[in-house]
Amino acid sequence: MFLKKSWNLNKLFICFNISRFKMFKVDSILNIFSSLTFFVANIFFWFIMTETGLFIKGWSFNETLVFIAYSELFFGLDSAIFSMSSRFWYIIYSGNLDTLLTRPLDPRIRLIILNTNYLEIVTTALSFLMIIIVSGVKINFFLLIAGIAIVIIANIVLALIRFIMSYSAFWVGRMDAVSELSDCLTWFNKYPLVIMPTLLKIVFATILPFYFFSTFSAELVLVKLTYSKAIVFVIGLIFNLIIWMIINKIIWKKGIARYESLNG
Amino acid sequence: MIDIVRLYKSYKNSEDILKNINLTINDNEVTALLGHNGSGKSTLIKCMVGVLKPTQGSAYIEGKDIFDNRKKLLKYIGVVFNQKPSFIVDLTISDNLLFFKSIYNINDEDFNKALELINTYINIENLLDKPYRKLSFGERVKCEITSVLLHSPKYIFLDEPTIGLDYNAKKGLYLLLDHYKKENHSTILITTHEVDYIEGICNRAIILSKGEVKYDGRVETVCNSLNHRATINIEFAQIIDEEKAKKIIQGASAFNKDEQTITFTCFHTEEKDRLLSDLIKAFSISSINTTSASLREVFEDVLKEIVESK
Repeated sequence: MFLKKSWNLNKLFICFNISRFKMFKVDSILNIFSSLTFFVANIFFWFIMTETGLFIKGWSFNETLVFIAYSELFFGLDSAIFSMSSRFWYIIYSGNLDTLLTRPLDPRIRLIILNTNYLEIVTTALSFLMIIIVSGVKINFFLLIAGIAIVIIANIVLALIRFIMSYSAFWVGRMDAVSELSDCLTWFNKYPLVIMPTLLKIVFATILPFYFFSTFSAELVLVKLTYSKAIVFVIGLIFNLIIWMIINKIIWKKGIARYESLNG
Repeated sequence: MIDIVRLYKSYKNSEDILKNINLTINDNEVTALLGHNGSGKSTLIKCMVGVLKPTQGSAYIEGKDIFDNRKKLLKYIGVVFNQKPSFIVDLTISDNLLFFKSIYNINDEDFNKALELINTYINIENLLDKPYRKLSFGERVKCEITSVLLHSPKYIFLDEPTIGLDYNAKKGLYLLLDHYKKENHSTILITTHEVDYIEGICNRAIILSKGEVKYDGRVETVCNSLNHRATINIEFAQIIDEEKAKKIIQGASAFNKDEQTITFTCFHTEEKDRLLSDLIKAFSISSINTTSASLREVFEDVLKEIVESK
């Protein structure tokens, strides 16, 4: 039932996105242009790094491109679908939650569906495929898909963390800083976390999900992990997903019981 | 049926906003929830629809605690919170309504029927192709009302639904609610400051004051007080009959000899007519100005009557 409703809503919003694209053509084209600029700058940065001899130990430039592909995929999906989760605090703070709680669609799902940019999803997918092809690295198709699945799950985990941070508005009201702070979390997506000390790597693969943003996918696809390590990290990812879902549910329930709304 | 049992609500660092509210609203009943600003009307509605958790006590719809079962009960409920939009601002009204159709799982036939019905009463057809952001406040209110009635809810809660609506739209809205009451057997609860509109549709009025139910009874009592209470301001040029004038001035609520003005408060039409007839005989009148009672005065009258009858 929930999936059917979500699918119907997504179909509806694909049509709305097309209408929006037609209505705000200039803005839409500028959006594509800015994504393209960001993407080119990112590749250029790593190219310069490699050219100047600043290698990441054990990673060739072509392998770094595979990392960039997953990094772009993570960042693209985040900004196309999940990034608004860090702004949820404003819905609580402004009292708009009132109207959303009286409709049969979860306010959090509504926020995500309403702000999903379908055009950006398409451009992200195309960028991802293009970088993978340009990298010239021979990749197992199954691992490629597994890598994509990991990135999507990591995106969901990050959105859950952002929602949890937003719920602080139930207790303390205005939470502008939360948006800034939770947006900073995507910074861990900019470089392979293999450069981190072992202890941090363990923390980022267990309690915090940063390792899964793009490093895990890239290492898996490039077969840089032993079988046992890969299994441990998959368990770590599932653990992260479950634990953040549970924390999210508990804090949401506590927050909603404390909700004071506005205007009486 | 809606049941409210020993309900209290207080916010952080504040005294109780709602105090020991006990109410039963029967099926197919239309209730007006009245009270001054800050009396707790909106808070009570929010507790009744599961948006706010009561500090003590509970609100039940169909026998289920609404706060704990909000998600399950939402399909039976339609709520309008005035000045809190639920529309997507950059989409047209028809796109927005399609969104609501989708979340309420309404089929095409029911959706078109409901839209046609609502349009008959509050005329929204001309708004359908406009983006929400380009609508006036009153037009937005009409759209909000449309969006909560599309799924023909069994329970309708309207918090100040007439603010921003013109006379025809207000009239249309009350006729539309009457239709939902008669044809869908909906249970309706309206908070409003406009007492003069409720008589035709509501069977019951509840007056809240400082978070307590002060009156729960026939809506006619409230409306009669409004219709029959008036303030009359008279400016006179000279006194014609000293003795009669003295008697009249004794019954006045205010008298200013220098400015030659007298103010009276009347409760019944007959009293007003008799007073005017006496005034003409006693004074040479320059001007008469009659004003209707304010909502505050109406509430005070109703509450005073209750105290006196006790």
